[in-house]
Amino acid sequence: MQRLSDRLLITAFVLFLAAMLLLNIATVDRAFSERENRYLTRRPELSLSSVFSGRFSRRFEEYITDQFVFRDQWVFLKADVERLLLRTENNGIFLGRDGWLLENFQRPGPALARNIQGINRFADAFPDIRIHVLLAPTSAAVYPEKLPPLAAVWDQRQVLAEVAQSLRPGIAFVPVLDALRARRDEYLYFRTDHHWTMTGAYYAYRELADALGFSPLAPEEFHRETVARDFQGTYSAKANRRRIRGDALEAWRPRTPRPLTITFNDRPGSFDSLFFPRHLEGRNKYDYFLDGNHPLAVIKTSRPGGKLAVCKDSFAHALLPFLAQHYAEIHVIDLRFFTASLEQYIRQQEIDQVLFLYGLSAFASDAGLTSFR
Amino acid sequence: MVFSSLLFIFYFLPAALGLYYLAPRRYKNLVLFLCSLFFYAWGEPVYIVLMLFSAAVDYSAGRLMGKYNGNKAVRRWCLTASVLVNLSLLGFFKYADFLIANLNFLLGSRIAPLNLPLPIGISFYTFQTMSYTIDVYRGQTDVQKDFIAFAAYVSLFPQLIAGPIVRYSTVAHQLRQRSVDAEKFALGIKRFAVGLGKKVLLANNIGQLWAQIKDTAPADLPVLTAWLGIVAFAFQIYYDFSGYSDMAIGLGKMFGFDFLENFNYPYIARSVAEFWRRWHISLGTWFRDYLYIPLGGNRGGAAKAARNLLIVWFATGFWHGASWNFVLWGLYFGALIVLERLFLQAWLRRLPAVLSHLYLLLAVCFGWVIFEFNGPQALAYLRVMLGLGNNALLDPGLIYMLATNGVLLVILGLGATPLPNALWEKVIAPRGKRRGAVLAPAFCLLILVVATAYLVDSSYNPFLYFRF
Repeated sequence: MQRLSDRLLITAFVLFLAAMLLLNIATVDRAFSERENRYLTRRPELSLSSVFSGRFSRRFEEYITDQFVFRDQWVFLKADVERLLLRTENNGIFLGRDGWLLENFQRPGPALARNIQGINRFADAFPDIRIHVLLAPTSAAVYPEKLPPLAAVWDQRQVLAEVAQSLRPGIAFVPVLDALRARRDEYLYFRTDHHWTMTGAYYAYRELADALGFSPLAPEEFHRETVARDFQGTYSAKANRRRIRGDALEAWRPRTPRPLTITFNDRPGSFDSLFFPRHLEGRNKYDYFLDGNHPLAVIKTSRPGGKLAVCKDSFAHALLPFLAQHYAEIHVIDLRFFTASLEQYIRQQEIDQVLFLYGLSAFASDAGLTSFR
Repeated sequence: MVFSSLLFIFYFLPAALGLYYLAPRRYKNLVLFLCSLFFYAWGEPVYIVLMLFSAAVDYSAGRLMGKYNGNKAVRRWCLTASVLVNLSLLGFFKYADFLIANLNFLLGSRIAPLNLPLPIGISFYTFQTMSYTIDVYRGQTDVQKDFIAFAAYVSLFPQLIAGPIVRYSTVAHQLRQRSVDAEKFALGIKRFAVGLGKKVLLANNIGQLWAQIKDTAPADLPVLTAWLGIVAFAFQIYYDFSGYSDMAIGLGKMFGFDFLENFNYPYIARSVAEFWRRWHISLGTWFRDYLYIPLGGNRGGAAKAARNLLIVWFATGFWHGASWNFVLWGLYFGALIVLERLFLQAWLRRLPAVLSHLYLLLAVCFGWVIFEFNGPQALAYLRVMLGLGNNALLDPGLIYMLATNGVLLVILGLGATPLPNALWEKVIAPRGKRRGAVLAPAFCLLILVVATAYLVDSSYNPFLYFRF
């Protein structure tokens, strides 16, 4: 009986290893993972210098992990086992109530101070320009009641207060957390993505109005239309649960539209809408707003008025269609990718107001969001 | 390369096993040696020279001692050279920056640190090769004349980078002649699967809890959370290291070697001395046989024995890392063992078992605080544990941690005792019963599959003993 058992085990072991080896060699590498919404590591080039620096071996291990056969099924299996262990979190994403996925926002790292410093440096360089800062909290701060039982995230209200404190006097910090909390029975954030919905962005826009000095349009002045129903966002890609209910994506368009154009510095052509329906076909449907990330986008309207520069991450994309109702020109700058001199650009374009708009989570963890030349 | 990686399990291991079993008998050591070189060179190709140099020195020292069998002076000279070379390698690559930092501190000098990366496994292979020359010198083992066999021993990939510290005498016979039958190979698979599960499923998972707690400022740490944290670390380091030893022993069996056990349920010990007879056994016995006994051991009175013990424990602590906290950690255990010898042991024997278990677990947990933090941080953490700060007793975060790690903690607690193994062998899958014949392979495969899932989705896979 013991001999049978041993033979069984050896056969199973050898077959398992051999099957995996053959399948891994036989399957064609994927360039892009729809589910994870990222490019997968490709087979690294073999060279003497990359071998000796250790770069080759590091990349090669990333490569086999990314291209492992049945990758998505393995990842789902891990999430299932975590569930058996009564875990309510996977890869930093809480599996909340009512189908909500929420980010486990942690204590900010040194990036926070660096990003604040970038804004302060900007204020020193342009004492005559009005500067505003808006940081969008994560959905866990707006909907803490959706967190799993007993779970808690780092206090974002306190972090926001610290940021407001550390900004140079004269910089206007625009708080939005309370306004969003007050409207939390509406669909302000995606359940499966880290961004706010256009509804969430609308209430932030209303808070900005006073500070920036315009009177906001009322909700009735917009036509609201659901443009996609099965949006699976970044949280969904990290949590790796099977059967996550997708989000609906809604666009707000003014009932009396004004003509406008938008141009990008890294994409030819000029467009007459801030919405880009081609992204509704792909995984990353949030890129419907403003065509996703570009180093520089310039929005021009027929309306007389001021010139605004927005230094931002993708949280701005859902909000800019509202702001476009109030300015002659908006210069949308992503400092992570903008390589020209910001100082020169701001002076050349004769900007009167600047808005820094970021998601708090990225602002507290990605250094370099606000660094500029 | 580490065992707990997709690269090792699904590429290197099948290739190495295939080559090894295809090779004719007389080339098996060579195949093993070449596979091991590839294994070592992966990620750190330059330091391979160092390992080969160490192997060559010890091989030559052995041959010379063999040649001048009657000449005591030559033999002594050979031994000294070998030990000196090994200790210098270790000293230079592991301790130079520590020395420089201390010199700078004491003399106010400004010598720049070398910032050399620590060669993988250097603490292990230098000790292994020294065991060879010392044993040859003592006449306790035969001289190895075959360089390939000797090099295969030094570089043997199952135990190369994290032990156990396999002594030459343990495998001397098997280097010449070894065989694998189905029973041994199956045993190897079982040990490997269990070790992999301990490392990937248990240690990594509880390690995340410790990483989170360790990251919290002491002022924000509730007392019970601090306790939970150090318990989590105690589990992490045990499952990490003993899992690695299990994998090493299992792999050894697949290639025909029998290594000695390295762990024997250390947390069920009832005294510090017993704990160290159960924890990292290969290191403890190495220091006993090659340092403590040559120093005179416990002959020559209580004072001399205490001195010897403290020297050994200083060395044991220092071996774990070039930092004062490791020295302190070693001396802490040394002091406890001295006390146990003097009177504590006698007391502990008379106490109910519960209390002596509690004593050992507390002693070890306080030890892990010293091990994990440098001086001031350790003190701050200990203050929280002892309730000397202004910390709350618990908070909702702790309840959440307990709720989401509860199942895992129960598994970890039970797994640190012989209970599951006894249950498995007596009730669930007794030998000779048909049930057992199917359940054991099924269980091993299940661990392999689930561990693979965790490795494919791995964001957290540190290896605690990698840089030793």
